[in-house]
Amino acid sequence: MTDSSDVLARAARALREAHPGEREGSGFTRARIMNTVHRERRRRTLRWAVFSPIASVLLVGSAWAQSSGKWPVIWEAVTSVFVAAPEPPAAPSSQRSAPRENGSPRAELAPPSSALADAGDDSDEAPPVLELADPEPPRVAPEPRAPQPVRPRRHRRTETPTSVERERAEREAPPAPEPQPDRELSRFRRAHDLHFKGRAGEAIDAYADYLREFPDGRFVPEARYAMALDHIKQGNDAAAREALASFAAGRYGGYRQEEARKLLDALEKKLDKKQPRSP
Amino acid sequence: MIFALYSTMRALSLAGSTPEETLLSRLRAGDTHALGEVYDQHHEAVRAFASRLTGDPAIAEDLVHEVFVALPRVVKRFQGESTLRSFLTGVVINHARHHVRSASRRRAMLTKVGREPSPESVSPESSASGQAFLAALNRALDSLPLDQRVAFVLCDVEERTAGEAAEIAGAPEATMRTRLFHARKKLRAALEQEGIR
Repeated sequence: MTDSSDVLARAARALREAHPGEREGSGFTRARIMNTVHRERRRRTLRWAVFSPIASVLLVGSAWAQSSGKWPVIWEAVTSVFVAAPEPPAAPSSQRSAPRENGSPRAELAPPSSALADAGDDSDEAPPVLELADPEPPRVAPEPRAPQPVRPRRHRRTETPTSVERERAEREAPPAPEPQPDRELSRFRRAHDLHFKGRAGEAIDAYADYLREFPDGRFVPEARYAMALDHIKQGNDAAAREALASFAAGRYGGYRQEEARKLLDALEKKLDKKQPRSP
Repeated sequence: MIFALYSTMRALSLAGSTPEETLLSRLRAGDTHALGEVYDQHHEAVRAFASRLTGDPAIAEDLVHEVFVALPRVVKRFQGESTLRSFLTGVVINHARHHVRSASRRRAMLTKVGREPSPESVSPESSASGQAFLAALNRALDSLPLDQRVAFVLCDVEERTAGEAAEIAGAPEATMRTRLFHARKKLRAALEQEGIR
């Protein structure tokens, strides 16, 4: 054997002798091992004992809800807890803001000053016509959902109910509430449709009906402004000026204020051309 | 009733098997007493190998603990192609990486603070069987990759054949021979660097 292999042999022998495997702490290590194994087993058992009942309850509950048809109700209740309510729509800009309630329709109207000015040049021939932008169907507030009628509770019976019992159950069950149509909205919508179809005369009458019936209604500013535009279309400048003056004065906040001012200026110019002032 | 039936069936199935197979079956069934018996039978061999591999008895004790705690889980992989002791040695190798690194770091730190003898003080004649020689040997072993260190401990220290070592380490025999060759070469060079010839 060479010197170097002697070194390795010595090294191996030294390691063998230094670590024979017997040690005083072997009993302690045994106890530690058994303790760890028992602890892990207990932890596993506890995990099962906690999660299994929860999982079972969820599973059985879901199955019951599905079979009894209450799943949508439960789902809605759960999602209403976890899903945040939708944020209210952003406030309109100051120029177009009006004291209105949510969901009121808004007619998109093009600034009519230029059209009015052009029309004013040859005022002898025809009344000024306002150019309206592409009509957008009025956005309406979602109608309130009619509450679901309460279904009579099902009894677990193998026999089918007799006709007398069925009649009694029907009598006892509260009648399903009739859905309440939004009268105000329908009135306004009718007038608005006429306005966008260009039937100005009929629209004025419809708006007047609406304003008479709902003087403090949700859509009063829109109705008054649209009515003013219809008056201009009809050549009824005095009525139009009267209606627009309240908008220009800021009676409805910033809603249509700028447009109303421009329209009033244009109407003034038109009047000046019709009746030239004496020098 | 069901438990009694289960116990009877198990007893019948174990009737014709060897004691080690019986022990393994109980271990696989989650019998903690069987784990205790396995420990009693094999802890010395496992501890010796772990100590020789890590070079640190305290860390080897942790390794032994880890191996026996993991045994009920890993024994399901054991198909009986080798002895249980060889299988346990393989489990030690699988769990050794972290512990060997930890022991190596600890030794490096101790050398740095001067609690272990420095290489200059080691003389082969005077300390061949002494602590200084062991310390130098461990430092030399720390310079080997784990695979080569395992090959050296299995073949040279534990005097197993390359075939046995290959089976334990789960590597081909030729690979084990190559690892052993490189391990010896590097170890010799490292020991020379430590001043041991």
